[in-house]
Amino acid sequence: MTAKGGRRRFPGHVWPTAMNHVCVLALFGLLLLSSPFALADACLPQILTIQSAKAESQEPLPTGSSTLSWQDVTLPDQWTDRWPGYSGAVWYRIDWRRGCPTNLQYPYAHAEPVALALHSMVMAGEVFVNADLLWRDRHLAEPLSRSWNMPRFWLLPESILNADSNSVWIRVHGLAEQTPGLGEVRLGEPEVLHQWHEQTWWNQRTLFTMNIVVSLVLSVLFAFAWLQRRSSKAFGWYALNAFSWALFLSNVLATETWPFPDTLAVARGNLLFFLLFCQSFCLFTWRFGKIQLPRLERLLWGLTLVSMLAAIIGPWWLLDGVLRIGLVYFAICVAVSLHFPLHAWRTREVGHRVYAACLLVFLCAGMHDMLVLKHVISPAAPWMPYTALLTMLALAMVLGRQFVLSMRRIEQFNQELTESVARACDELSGTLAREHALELSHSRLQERLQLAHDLHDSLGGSLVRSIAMVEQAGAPMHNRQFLSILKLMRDDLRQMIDSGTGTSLSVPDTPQDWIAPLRHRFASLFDEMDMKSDWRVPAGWSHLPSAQQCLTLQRVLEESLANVIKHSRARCVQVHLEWKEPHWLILHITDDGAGFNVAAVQQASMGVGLRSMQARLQRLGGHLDMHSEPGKTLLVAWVPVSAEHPPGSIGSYLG
Amino acid sequence: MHTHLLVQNPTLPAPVLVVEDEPLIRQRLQSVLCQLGYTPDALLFASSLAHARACLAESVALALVDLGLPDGSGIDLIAEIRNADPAVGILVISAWSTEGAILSALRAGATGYVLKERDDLEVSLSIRSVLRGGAPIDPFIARRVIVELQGSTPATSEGGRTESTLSSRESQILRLVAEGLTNREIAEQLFISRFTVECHIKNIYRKLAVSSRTRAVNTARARGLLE
Repeated sequence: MTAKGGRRRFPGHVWPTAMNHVCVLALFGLLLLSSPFALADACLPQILTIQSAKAESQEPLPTGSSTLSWQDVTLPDQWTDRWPGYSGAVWYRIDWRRGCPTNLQYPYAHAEPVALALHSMVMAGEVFVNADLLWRDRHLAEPLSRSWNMPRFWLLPESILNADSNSVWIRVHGLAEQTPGLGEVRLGEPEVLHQWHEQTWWNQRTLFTMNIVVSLVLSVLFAFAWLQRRSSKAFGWYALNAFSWALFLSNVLATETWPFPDTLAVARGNLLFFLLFCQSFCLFTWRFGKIQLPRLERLLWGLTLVSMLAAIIGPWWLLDGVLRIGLVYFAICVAVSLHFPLHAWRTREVGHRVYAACLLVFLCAGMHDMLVLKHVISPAAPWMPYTALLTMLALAMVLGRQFVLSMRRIEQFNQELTESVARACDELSGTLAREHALELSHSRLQERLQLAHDLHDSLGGSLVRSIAMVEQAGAPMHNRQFLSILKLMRDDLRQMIDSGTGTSLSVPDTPQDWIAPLRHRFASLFDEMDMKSDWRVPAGWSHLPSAQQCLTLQRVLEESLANVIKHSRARCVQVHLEWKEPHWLILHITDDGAGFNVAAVQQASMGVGLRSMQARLQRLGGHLDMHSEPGKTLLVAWVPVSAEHPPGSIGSYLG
Repeated sequence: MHTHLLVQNPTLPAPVLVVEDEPLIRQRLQSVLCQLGYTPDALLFASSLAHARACLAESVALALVDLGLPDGSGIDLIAEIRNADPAVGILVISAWSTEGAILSALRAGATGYVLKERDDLEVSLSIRSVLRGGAPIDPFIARRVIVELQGSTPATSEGGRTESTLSSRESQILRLVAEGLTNREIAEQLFISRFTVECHIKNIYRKLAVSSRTRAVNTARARGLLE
C-alpha cells in the first residue's frame, strides 16, 4: 500500500535514492516536453561549460582572477563523488551564450527572452546570473533551508544578460551525509521551461501534498472508528500507518528544518517515522488478514524499538552507512507484501484479495520505478505516487466495505431477532391460550362435579330420606307433613344456592359474620311480630369449624326459628352460641312459647324438620337435645369441633 | 298465619300492580295482599312486560315485580316505573337471589327485595315494610353497598360530598346491618327512630341508583357520546 510507495522512493539510505529519483524525473520531463513549436535549436541558449569548485560559504561572487580550482561536472551532480566527506559550500558555474545570431546593430532588439529553471539544490542555495543575485534561501548555515525538493523557475531580465556569453552562478550549501549537490539546471525558452517546471512541481510537490492530505484524512477517519470500537485493531493500525506515512512525506515538502534543530535531526526524525510506518504496515497487514504470528510480531517489535532508539542516539554514519536500517525495513515490508497475497489466496475473502492486489500493484510499480531509475528500461513517468493514492483509496474502500458488511449483518440480525421474538410470542400465546382453554374446561368440570356433589349431599339426601319416610309411614300422611318435607327441601336448596353463589364454601371470618344473615332475617320477623329476640355469639372462633358444620348449624338454627315463629306463640327468643371445652360448639335456642311434645317429634308424627336436623348433627358426630314444657322450650345443638381443621378447610364438607 | 298481628290500615295505597307470570304465585300474592287489607279491585295483575306497561297507563302506588318474565327482564320495568314516579314503592319478588340480580334491581330503582320462596308471613312483612315507607335490606347487600359507594368514590370525601357518596351515618347503619342487626336494633343503638333508619336506607338505595347513573354518564363521556 502507501507504505510501498514511500518505501520505494526513499529506501534505506533515504536521501540518495530520493535524489536520484528526482533527477530522473527531471530527465523525463525534458524528453517528454520537447514541444513542436519550440524554436529552432540554433536559437536556444547554448550551455558551454558546467564547472564546480569548493567555496567559502560567505565569500562574494568570485572574479575571473580568483584562485578557485574549477572542475568540469555534469548535472545532476553529487559532490561527494569528487570530494568524499566534504560538508560546506560549493560553487557551480554554468557558462552559456544566447543562441540566435544577434542583430549586431540592435543587439537586444529582437532577442528571445530566456528562462532559467532549477530542479533542486541540496540543501540550500544562492543563484546569481552574471553578477546579479537572483535567489537566496533563508538559511545558508545550520539549520539549513531545504530546497532539495523545490523546483524553481525564473524569467531572466534582459537587462542583466550580456548579448553573447553569460554565466549562472549557483552556490550550494550541503552536508556530506545528505548527498549534497545540484539537480538539473535548464536555460531556454520560457514557454517550454515553464511547462517543464510545472511538470516537475506536480511530481515533486503536488503529488506529495495530495498523498499527505489523503493520508491524514483517512488516518483521522479510522482513528475515530478504532476509538469507537477498540476491538477493531486493524482500523487502529491503519490509522497509525496512514499517519506515519503523512509524517514521513512531510520531509519532502518541508522547506525549513522546523521543528527539528538541524538537518541531521530532520534525517533522524524521518528515519523514526519510516520505522513507525513499516511497523504499523506489518501489523496492519497481519491484523487485517487475521494472520497469527505472535513470535514474529514480538521479534519485530523488539527490532523496531531497538532501531528507534538507535535512530535517536546512534551515530549517523553507523545508521546510514553500516546498518542500513531503512533498507532492512524495506526488505521486511517487501516480504510481508509478498506473503499476504499467498494468504489471501487461501482465505478467498474479497477484502483480502483487493488488498493483496494493491500490494502486488505496488510491488510492480516499485519495480518499474526501480528499473527506470537503473536505466534498465526506457525512461517513463514514475508510477508510485499514483499507485500510492489509488491504493490508499482502494484500502479505504475495503475497510469501509467491511464496516458496511458488519452494519448489514447487525441489521439482518436485528430483523431475524425481531422475527424470532414475534414467532416465540405467537407460540407462547398459542400455548397460553391452549393452557387457558384446558384450565377453563378443567375448572368447569370441577364445578360440575362440585355441584353434583353438593346436590347429592344436601338436596339429594333430603329427598332420599323424605321418600324413605313417606314409604315407611304405613298410614296416609297429613298435608302438613308433606308441606314440612317440601319446605325442608326448599330450604336445603336455598342454602345450597346461597352458599354456592355467595360466599362459596369458605367459613365466615367470625361467628358474627356467620350468623348475621339469619339474625337479620329472623330478628326482623320477630320485630314485626312484636317478639323479643336476644342473640349472643362469641367474638371469634376458638377452633375453626368446617364449612359443613357451619352450614348444618345454620340449617338447625333456621329450622328451629321457623318452628318458633310458626308454632310457639312465644314472646321472647334467645339464640346463644358458645364453646364448651374441650371441643364442643354449642347452639342454644330458647323460647317461652307453648312448647311441644318431644316424644311426638321423635316419633315422626310431626317435626319433620327437627328430626332431619337431629340426623344431620349425628352424622357430624354431634347431637340435638330437646327439652320442652309450656313456657320454656330449649333446643341445644352440639357440634364437635376439633383443632385439626385448619382455617378454610372444606375437606369434610366435600368428603 | 299471625294475621292478627297485621295492622289493618284503612288508607292503604292503591292500586297495587303485581307483575308475575306464574298463576299459582299470583294467587298466592293476591291472598297475601288481601290479608294485608286490600280488596281485589285494588289489585292489578300483569303476566308479562307488555301487559304491565299497559297497566301503567294509570299510576300505581305499589308494584310487586318478578324479575324473570316471559318477554324480558323486570329490571327494565322497574326503571320505567321509577322514572315515571320517584315516590312509588317497588318490591322485587323473585326466585333469583344472586348479588348481581339484586343490585341491578336496586340500581334500577327498586325499594326492596324478597325471595319468592319465603313463607307467606315473610313476604307479607316485606310488603308491609315497603308500604310503611321502609326499604328491606340484607346484610350481604349492605356489605356490597359499602364496597360500591365508598370504594368507587374515595377522592370525594374532602372535595365536598357528591350525591352518590355515603354519609357517615349511612355508613354506620350499613355496617350495623351487615352485622345482622335489625332496623329496630339499629334505631335503639343509634338513638334514632326506626323510621329514620328506614329513610336512611331508602336514601342509600337512591344513591346506589345515582351512582350507577353517574357511572353511566362517565362512561358515556369517556366514549364521546356526551359532550
